[in-house]
Amino acid sequence: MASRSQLLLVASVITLCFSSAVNAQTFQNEKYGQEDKFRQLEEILPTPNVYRTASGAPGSEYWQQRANYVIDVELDDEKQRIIGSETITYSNHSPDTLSYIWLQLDPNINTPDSDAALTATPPSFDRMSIGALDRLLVRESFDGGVKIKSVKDAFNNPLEHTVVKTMMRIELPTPLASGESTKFSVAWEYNINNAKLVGSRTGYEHFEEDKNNIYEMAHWYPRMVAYTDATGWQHKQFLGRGEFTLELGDYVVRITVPNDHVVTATGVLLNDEEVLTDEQRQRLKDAETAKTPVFIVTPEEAKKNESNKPTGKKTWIYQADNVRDFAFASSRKFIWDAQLHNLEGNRVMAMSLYPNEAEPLWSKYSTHSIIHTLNVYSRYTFAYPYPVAISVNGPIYGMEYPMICFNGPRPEKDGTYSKRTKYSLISVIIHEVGHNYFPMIVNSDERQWTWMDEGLNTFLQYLAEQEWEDDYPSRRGEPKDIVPYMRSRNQMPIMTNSESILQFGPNAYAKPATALNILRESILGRELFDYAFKEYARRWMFKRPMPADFFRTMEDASGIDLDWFWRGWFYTTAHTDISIENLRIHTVKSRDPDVENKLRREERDDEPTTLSESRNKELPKRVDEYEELKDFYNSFDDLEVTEDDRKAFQRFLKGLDDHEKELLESKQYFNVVELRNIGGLVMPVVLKFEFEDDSSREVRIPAEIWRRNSEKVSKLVITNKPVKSVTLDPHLETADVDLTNNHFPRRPVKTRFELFKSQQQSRNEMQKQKAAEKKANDEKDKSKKKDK
Amino acid sequence: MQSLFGLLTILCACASSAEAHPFHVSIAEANRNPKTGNLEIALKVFPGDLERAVRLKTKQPVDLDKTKNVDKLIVEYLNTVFRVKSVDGKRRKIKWVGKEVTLKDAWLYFEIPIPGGLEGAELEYRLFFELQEDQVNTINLVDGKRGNTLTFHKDRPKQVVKLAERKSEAAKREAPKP
Repeated sequence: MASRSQLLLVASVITLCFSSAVNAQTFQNEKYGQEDKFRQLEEILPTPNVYRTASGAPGSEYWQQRANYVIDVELDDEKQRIIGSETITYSNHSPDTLSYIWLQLDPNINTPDSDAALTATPPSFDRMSIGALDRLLVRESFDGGVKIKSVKDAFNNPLEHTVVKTMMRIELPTPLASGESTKFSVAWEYNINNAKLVGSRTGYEHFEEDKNNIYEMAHWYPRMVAYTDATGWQHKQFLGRGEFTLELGDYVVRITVPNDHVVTATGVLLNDEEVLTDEQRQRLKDAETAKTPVFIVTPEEAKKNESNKPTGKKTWIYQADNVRDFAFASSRKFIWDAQLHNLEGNRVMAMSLYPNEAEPLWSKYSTHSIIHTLNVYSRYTFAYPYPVAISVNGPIYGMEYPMICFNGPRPEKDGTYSKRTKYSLISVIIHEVGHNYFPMIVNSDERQWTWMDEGLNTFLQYLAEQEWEDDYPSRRGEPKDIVPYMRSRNQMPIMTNSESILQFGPNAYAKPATALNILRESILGRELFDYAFKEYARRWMFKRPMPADFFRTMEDASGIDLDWFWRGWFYTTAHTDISIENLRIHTVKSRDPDVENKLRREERDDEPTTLSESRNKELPKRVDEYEELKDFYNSFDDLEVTEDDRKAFQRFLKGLDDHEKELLESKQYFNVVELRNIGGLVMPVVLKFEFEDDSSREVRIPAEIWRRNSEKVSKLVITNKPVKSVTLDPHLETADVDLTNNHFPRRPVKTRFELFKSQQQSRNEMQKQKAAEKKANDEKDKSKKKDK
Repeated sequence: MQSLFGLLTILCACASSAEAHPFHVSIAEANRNPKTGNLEIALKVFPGDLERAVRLKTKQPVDLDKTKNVDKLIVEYLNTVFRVKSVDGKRRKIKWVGKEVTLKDAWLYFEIPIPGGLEGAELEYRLFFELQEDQVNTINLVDGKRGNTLTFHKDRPKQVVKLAERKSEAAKREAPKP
């Protein structure tokens, strides 16, 4: 029996652990002293009911409200204002009677006395730029709030209404019973924010050179507040970060703009013969059969349009069915390209609109990125159901709406662009077009849970990026990329409300995306994960899922209990740090005295001599002086093999049957790996055994190995060769934050800093050598020349 | 300047929190090297943020891959936003080691001497606060068996370092549970 328990101490350990948040813990087991990491989540999740089942699917009486809109809106390019009137038909599919209804007035976030402004903490004034100072002062004076001009019922009678911050309550003259609809209209206007000064998800950009504007308009009309089985009216006010909670419905929108503007919007254009030239309509037709994007408005035409003056107004009419929101963009600066894409039988017009400032980047990549996104996302969810998918360049860096999204990256003024700008553009378009699936169609509550759309979307973005080109530089998705964040202590669980999250990007985008990637690659496998994820998307397409519906569906459809995974990754801030503490190797004794005694002698000889023993050796001994004192025992070696021993062994062998003999002769090694969970997160254990002959073997153990003891476990692995070393997580798939304890025997692992510095130094050594060689060669050349 | 700002009642909204791509974080790994006594720092930022910040400070176009002397410009910028006072109250300047710029991120490597140790030193980490209101900077500190994570944002740009026993090391000394 051999035992190797030597632990090499490594100085460069960089783990920082913290006691994992036990906010979700509803019991205490003081005697055992351990948290039950595999306890079911049913104590935390809402009780299943007729609206939402325990399997994660919509229930037999699932309902959601519906709001249809007919809107007339005018964009005033002189004063940058929106003037609108709308008629909303609101259908109450809930089992409840409603005596009042709520509308969202999002532009009210842009008043100096909004909650968003009042609760903002001061900026840091050290080295503040002039631009930042400008933004502060504009924010102080800009009045972007909505002026409600009228609220009327279907018979034009005024309706009583009360504005509460970014919402408005309308009193219904007669309560709206379950199953009934009501129709009412609202007229309003407001000043549009300059998006470069008052940051937002909407606004205009002014171009000083040609005095034109690009408008990217969103949450520009009073929208129904969602009324749901989970929250009633979603009364979380708009503070800027938590995005939108919306009802699905049908829209007809008439957008009046200066007659030289090009308008693009959620939905299909109904009056193309009125607003487009014959040539433009022909080009759109050509785009239906084109293999690459076709210009509807060319760069040259757009450049020429910049010096236009409008001679009147034009109204563009758009229709959009089954959408939860409506956005549009308008400018005379737009270049416009389009290509029809056939997606599993659905005809989708992919289009991009951008100014000349965005060229040559946008005509090359935007529409291609849209089509690529639709292809990949549809494969993992459902076929894209809408007729158009549009990407617009303007002041907003990246923001998603149904069928249309706003994306910011542009080349330099001289038309050159860096690699990073290129990939930023492709990534942001994939991300924002991807949002059509989550949350536009799988209509989650963004005001409450950012991760339900951003996390899922960032995960699919990673998959789509990796199908764009080899080694695409994806920022989020790979487990190793999230290690520094996971290691940090000041975090909140993913299950935290949007407005309260501290590090928004890592918390709501990167961590859930990485968790899902780990779930797919290392826990469920691609086949099970993809089946369950698709099932979730399809179950909740055009419906409103809550977190429990996602957690439950993923388990229900994969057939794997994942409560431990949701608990660890979504409800706590624990991280992965598993350590190989020891490796014990056991072998079967052959019982052959010639073999065993030799081994034992070797072991005995290996034992160190003590200090006294070695010094005593030189002392004269009495038995040497008086030889007669020596007898049999002075020369007897108890490890000497005698004939009796050999005979006994032969008798033993005879008594064995064939199977027993086979076992005895087989050279099996029984390796016991002792593991300790330091980070708190229970995770699968992936072990790579390397053998003396340089071959290796990998063993993958599910996370359930931790189910009885989540702090310390051992695993037996039988091999037929002696093990040289063991590595934990050899493919970096678990986001283990401390790799120094992932090897047995321990290997020194350098910090990032040390690694970089040593590379620098070795590079310098090489340079020195090269320089020396060059010098030597030069001198040779010189001497040769001299010789001549 | 301070008094001017004191007079204004500034009501600032989170101006740049509206993006659907909020990258406004940086993270640093810092180890105190027991041999040199220096704090060795690997700082990860988004390359675009760094270019914008250096551009804002130097008022000239900056490209991390092409601009000559870009390392010098970065060090000048870092010295204004990543500042360390050792326990004796002296400000300690950055010793530049180098940088690695990829498409995804930029890693900046530098050392700062901290005679008297990490505990009690004052750390100021106001990287990119001038670019975005909601920038959050995190540093993982390790000094032998002790460590901590500190988080900096505009309401908390400066902190005195306190360290605690690191659980991973401490855990090994715990008596095994029955």
